[in-house]
Amino acid sequence: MIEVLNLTKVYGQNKAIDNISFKIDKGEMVGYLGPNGAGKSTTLKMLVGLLEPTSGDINVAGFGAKTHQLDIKQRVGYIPEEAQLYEHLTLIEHLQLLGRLYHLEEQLIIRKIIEFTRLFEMEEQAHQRISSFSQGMRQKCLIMGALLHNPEVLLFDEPFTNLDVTTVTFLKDLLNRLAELGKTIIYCTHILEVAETLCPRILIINEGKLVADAPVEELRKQTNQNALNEIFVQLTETTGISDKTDEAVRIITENN
Amino acid sequence: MFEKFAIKFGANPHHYKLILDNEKVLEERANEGKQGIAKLSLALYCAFSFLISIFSSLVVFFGIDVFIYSIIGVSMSMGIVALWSLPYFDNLLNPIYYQVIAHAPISSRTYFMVKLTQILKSSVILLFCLNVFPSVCGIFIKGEDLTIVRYFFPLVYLPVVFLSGFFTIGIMAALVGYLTKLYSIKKLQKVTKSSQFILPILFPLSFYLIPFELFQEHYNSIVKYLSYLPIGWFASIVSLVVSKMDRIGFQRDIILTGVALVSTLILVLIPLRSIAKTYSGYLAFLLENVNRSMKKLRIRNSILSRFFKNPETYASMSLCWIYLRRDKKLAAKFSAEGITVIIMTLILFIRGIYPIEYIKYNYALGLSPGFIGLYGIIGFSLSLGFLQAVRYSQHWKAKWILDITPYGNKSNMWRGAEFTVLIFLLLPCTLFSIIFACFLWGINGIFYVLPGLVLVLLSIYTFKQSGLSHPLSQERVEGEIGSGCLTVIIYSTALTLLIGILFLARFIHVRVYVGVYSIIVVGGIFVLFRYKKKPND
Repeated sequence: MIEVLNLTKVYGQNKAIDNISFKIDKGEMVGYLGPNGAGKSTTLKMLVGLLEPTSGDINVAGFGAKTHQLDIKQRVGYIPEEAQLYEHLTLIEHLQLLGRLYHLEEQLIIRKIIEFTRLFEMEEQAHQRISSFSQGMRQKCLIMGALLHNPEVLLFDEPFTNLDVTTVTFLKDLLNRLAELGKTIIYCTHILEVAETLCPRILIINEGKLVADAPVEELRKQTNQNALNEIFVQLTETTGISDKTDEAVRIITENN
Repeated sequence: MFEKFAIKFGANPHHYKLILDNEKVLEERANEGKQGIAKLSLALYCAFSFLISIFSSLVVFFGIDVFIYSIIGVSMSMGIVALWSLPYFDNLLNPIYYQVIAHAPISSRTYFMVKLTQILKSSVILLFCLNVFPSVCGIFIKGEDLTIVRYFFPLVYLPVVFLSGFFTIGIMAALVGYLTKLYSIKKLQKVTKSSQFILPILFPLSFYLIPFELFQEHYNSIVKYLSYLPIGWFASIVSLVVSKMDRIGFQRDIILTGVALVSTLILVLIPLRSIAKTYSGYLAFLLENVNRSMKKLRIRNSILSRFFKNPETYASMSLCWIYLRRDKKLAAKFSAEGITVIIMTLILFIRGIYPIEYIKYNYALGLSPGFIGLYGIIGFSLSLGFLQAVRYSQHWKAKWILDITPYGNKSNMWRGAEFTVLIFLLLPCTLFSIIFACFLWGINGIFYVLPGLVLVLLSIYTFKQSGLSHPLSQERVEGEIGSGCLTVIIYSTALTLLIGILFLARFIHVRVYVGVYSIIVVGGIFVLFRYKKKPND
């Protein structure tokens, strides 16, 4: 369903993504992990066609990114890391617009909006403008927008940011069910606990390079570590945390 | 009409209509909170255009020929459309809502055509207001070469001026498209923003600067040169349709009509299509820019920090300086004031109401009403303009930080604002004035600056600082704004009085003048020191 081959993205002198390759099958849910600035969001943006790769090939749902960008966008549901929404539209208007852009039928759009707002507990806010929404409500808007057109592939970049515990639990369950239905899901995060419970397979990226691609169990065996955060620290070569803490304390307590 | 045009360019009709309608709603709602001019800017521009067109149309009664009459209309259409649409190219350069729907299956051509349509739509209204009156007046053009078609002048003239307006937008879009390949988005945005102020100044000034006397003397050769320009091409279409075939300029009109039509066609078919095609690359570039990371962290420590003993004052000054450079409202305020002063000065000088030589005229050492007046006006505008913005504007984002007491002593914070005015506004202005005065009067020039400088400094130090300590709950109080305006009026009157007193003293005797001058300057400096030492809180 998703095939990435020798993907590279260069910004000036800086290699944001360095020759990574992976393949994700239909119905698979993959956790895409890495430290801040490792290249997670850049990879997702290239997959959804927002950024052009410097080199390499991307194939999503049977379509090559170089030639069939619009076909890919039609089949992908994407949640960006930053909530980009039409501030002056109401929630209903925003979702209606997205539904229409994805060529959904009017009746279907209305039905879905009514159901979604009920499930995400946003019925009261449905006619309010997005500019008055809290961060959590905005995140819910993004999620509803990404799921509205029943996409085959879901690319989620930190989807649980600012959400309350109830919604997170609901979404975790929902993602599992969607994967069972054959949706391909890339779940991008740096919160390891969620990825560990949700994703059977983990990809770890560090400084633009793919350092791990295996099921969690296999990673445990490979690294002789039990917790995913310990595996992550080992694979991303994050050392000297204790020294760093000492230094931080010294700087904070410095007066002159 | 636009929809068909967009579809021919490869836009998806379904998406095109959806995004266009949506952007209209967004624009309307974004303007809901705004009052007055911001909301009515197109209406005001249309009214202004209609008024101009009435004056320009009156030339029809002075025996003007159809070619020149059309040239006037076409040049005005191109000029006004260029002025109006220039800021809107910022939409093309930096479409703010693009990221919201970037992941949806919308082609870049569709998005480009939506943006272009927005510019074209408002231009159509503007062109209509600008040309409806001239098109009717065109019926009254007299000439032996004219045929009966001249009675249908509006039907010929209006499509031609519309075509010329679209041609202008096409040229501008193509130019912007080309420039995006050469320069960074930030540079281009700066260019479009500053051009908004430069062009409106140049346009009315052109009426003063164009030597119309020369035009009468060299009519034929000027017409020949105008024919080479796009305004001449489009004017020739009108001339060709309403004039007889057996006349002198017929061949010229046929060729120029061909040039006008072919150039518009080429413009539409080649550069615009090409931009629409490559717009996705450009939009991707915009998104990429968000992702670029800083290479190396560098924090500069300003030399000025060494001169400030009080860190609160320095922090406040740094903040004020940043906002002075970056705040759009302040930039607009100062630009508007600056443009007014420049236009007024130029009109006074060019029209000879206030001859430029008069600024040099002095009655005694240090007494030049023109120079002191000009320095005082500029000094007050800059200093009090900034202090008023800090003191009264609820919209100035840094205001609450300056007011908030837990962060620092309020008078220290206010002093920072005063230092910003002194260092970044008054110092350059004074240095420039001293250089200019020295150029006029030699080293004695400094005496011409001193009285005005003392008064401007007094106005800064006596400006009433904010009295409230709960900034976020502070409401905009009309009375306070009134007192701010009153300060400007008081000091402008004081400036006039100062010049008057010096005049009177000089009239009595030169020694009296020297005494009064010294008292004003030394006394002013004494008062300044008193104010500086006096604690405000």
